[in-house]
Amino acid sequence: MVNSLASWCSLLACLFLAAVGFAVVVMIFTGRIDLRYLVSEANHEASMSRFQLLIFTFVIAIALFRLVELKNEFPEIPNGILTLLGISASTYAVGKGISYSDKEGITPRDQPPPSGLLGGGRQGQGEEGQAH
Amino acid sequence: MLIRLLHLEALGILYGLVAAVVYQMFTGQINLHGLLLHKDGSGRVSPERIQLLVATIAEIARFLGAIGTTQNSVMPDINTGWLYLLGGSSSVYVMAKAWKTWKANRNH
Repeated sequence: MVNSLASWCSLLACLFLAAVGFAVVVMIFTGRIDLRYLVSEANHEASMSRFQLLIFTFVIAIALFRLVELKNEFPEIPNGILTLLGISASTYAVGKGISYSDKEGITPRDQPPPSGLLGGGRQGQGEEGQAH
Repeated sequence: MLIRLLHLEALGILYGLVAAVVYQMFTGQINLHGLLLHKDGSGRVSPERIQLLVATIAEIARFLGAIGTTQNSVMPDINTGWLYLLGGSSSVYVMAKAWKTWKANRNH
């Protein structure tokens, strides 16, 4: 009885997590979660330190996932990886502090519409819901 | 069955998130304007940002290579030399940014 209840609770938690994760991914794809300024500073210009932290986070998450798949247990995280993420996060934090110490660093500039790696851009949207 | 479901779920969420962010970067929905440029509005390319990007790409390539060839499912460590390289590169970037901000504040 207790085991059966535990199994059902596990399944329910699993389905709940799946639903939340799926909803987040779908909302990002459809633009309801606005990531336009995910790697931008407060003045709406892209920041190299934010970009670096994002890339490192994804790469290490994927590597960790692959190793968990291979071994079926959570691997030990070496100090080198933690130091790497620490350096990247510190660079981001210091960069943010420097940006906020200058008025120009927090004042959005007149600039072309947001551009990506292929030069496209999202047009005609407001400034609400920015990711900083 | 539950473990299989969790595995698929984690796979879907992680790769879905990565795909969404990469897709939006390529299509311009995530703003990358000025990623490698000076922030003074001159439109010039910034060497400290270029070197940070190159160091980041080199580190990622080395790390992914180590992950691809790992035999015993142990997370590969990053040796001290690479950490010095990345730390130095990040320091150059931060110091250049601080110097430019200080100079801009002094001129106002």
